[in-house]
Amino acid sequence: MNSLIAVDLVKELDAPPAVTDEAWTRGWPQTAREFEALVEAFQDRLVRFAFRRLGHRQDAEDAIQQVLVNVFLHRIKYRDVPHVTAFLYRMAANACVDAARKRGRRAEVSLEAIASREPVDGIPSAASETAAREEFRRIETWLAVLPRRQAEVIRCRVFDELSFADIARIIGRSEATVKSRFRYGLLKLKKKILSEGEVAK
Amino acid sequence: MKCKAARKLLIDHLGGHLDPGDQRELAHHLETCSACARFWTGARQTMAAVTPVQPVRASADFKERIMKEIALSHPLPVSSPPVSSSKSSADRVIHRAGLSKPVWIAGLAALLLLAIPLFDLLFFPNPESGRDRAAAGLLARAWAAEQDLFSGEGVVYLVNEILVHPVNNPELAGIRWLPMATLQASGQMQMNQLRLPAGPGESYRLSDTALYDPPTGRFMRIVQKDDQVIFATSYDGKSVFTFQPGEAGEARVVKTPVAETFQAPKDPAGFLGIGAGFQSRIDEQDATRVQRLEDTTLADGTPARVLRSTLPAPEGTPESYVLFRIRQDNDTIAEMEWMAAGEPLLLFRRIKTSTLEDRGIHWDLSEIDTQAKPAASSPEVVPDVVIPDVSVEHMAEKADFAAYIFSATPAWTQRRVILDILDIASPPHRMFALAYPAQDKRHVVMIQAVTYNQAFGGLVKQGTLIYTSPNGFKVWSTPQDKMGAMIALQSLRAVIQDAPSENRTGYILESPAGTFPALAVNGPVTDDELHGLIDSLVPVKNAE
Repeated sequence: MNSLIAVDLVKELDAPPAVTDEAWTRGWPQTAREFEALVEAFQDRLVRFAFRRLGHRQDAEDAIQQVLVNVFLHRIKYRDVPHVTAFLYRMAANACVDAARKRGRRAEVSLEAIASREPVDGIPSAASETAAREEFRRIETWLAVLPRRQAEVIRCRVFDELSFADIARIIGRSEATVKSRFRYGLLKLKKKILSEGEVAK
Repeated sequence: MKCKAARKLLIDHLGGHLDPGDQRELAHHLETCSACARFWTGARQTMAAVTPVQPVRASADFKERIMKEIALSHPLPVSSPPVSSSKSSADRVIHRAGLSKPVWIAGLAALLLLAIPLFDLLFFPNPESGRDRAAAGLLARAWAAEQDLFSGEGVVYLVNEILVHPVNNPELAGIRWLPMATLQASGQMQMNQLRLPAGPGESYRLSDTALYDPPTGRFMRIVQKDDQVIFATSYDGKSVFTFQPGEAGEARVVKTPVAETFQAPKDPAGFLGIGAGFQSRIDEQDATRVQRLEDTTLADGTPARVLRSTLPAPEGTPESYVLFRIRQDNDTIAEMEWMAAGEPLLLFRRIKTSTLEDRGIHWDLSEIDTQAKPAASSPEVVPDVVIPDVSVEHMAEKADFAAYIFSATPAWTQRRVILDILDIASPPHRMFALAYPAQDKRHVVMIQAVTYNQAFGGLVKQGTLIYTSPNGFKVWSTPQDKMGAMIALQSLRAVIQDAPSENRTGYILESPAGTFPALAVNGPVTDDELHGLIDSLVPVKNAE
């Protein structure tokens, strides 16, 4: 094989695993200052997580704000709960389900209506929000070819940048199961994407 | 390594998971197996196809919104940037003044006492009392602006910080305190003492968060050192909540439904505003004490006026004054700094002024964090720094020294009020102030305290004996008479209302038991009147 490509591949392997967010190892915050650090560490990730489930930034932020405030108000109760990251995501997932249900009762808001909504102070423009939503939709189209469980593990990995261990804790399965779902899902996806690539050519 | 194993590991790697040992083997395999190299490229392309590149992040103010929301149930501690320590010159001044330390300390304690406008609230809950909005002057305008903060729409949300400056003199460092008022369910104001102890050179800051809802009078005030709640009080429209530190450092919140007599605070600015409990009224009666200094610029770049309000102090003691830094853009007070001997002792600084929607505010303090155990030398709240209007029996029971009372109300006065006050320079002893308001403004005040008993023995040696009564009392006149009378009268402004008069009279008494009560009359007294007063003194334990 071409040795240049091999060098490239090896370099790629040398790079640390693509976990962009720092792992949270500090336990549940008990003081306002610790809490602020937690918010800082998780706000983007959790808002992204909720955004892809709710499709709207304001709804996503509202849901996550509620989750984080609850974390602080009930910090004594949570003090002994292990695995902060996994538990936060589980709470976020529940909050998204609740929010989606409430919105369902209010009548579904169309994507077009969301896109044309006025940007609110401090919130990035509707245009960038629309671009993000379009991208999610495109990715979801790929993921639609997968069994639900495999798709969910891949979402957790690519959207939420969660480790296999955390995903395992969130969905309540073993790490081996999570890995195998990721592996089979990715292989299936690879087949699909590469073959469509061929077609496109 | 087999291809199957290698591909499994490659996908694991995309999942963010690869052991270093596997990595080496894998690298070696990829160099030799072109099929797996192609697989790896394809897998990465797949991963890239489903990995979003459009950034989705929380809004810039997301964290701030959350912190604000939690602040309403648990106000934020203020971070503690280092404070530069400066060398104290108090020692030098004390020595130059030739005063013994207890007198100096007692003087400072008295100065703090006389700077308590909340005494007004104890007796005369009238927001206009002593505050003339029409009065010219920048300081009056600043106070008016402070009061305006507490009116209008929406819930007022203020955060102040109280900075305990580093002071090298150990006694001076340890003596600082502030009055903290709580409104009881009966509507009675309770005055507590927030002790701000510090070792020499030590400094720290407290955050002081206040919320107030103008239409309903609901309020909340929480003082914290870092995360530790030191003082908290609130009213949610139905009940008052008070935070009571327990014996073992465990604190609890007591909820009491309000009585019919309860009224929301009449002077929210005095109750919750900047330097609550420390607002000097000196400026109002004597404009010459207020001086405008050179303008300055606040840390946030806002131009500010600087006003200096000098506190009266006994001759020979270091000069003491309050510096006000007033924002030029809206006339509000940005900072108040208490200075003595040219050095800052305490700084009050406004760090946040805003208005909130009422929705979601936890006026109920039940959820406040009561876990944190205070450190040994941390600030603490001592209840009842002043108990207004106590009975003679109360005084007889609580006085732990030979205390006296006039057997009859002085002829030219109308009534008697006794105040039970913490003897700040000699805690936990209590001091007692007798006040006899008079229609002709010649109010009579007598203050008895362990601190005075210890300090004034030396002072009378420099004085002149002007009368010895048949019951064994001596009346001493000293060069400090006018100043002593000023402090005594000023301390009881809330009872006697009028400002100390120019021709006020002051004496130090020496009792047969060797105690030294301070006597002041807000005007001239004839010899007969003075002798009549002194002759009627009886031990409080035998009175009535």
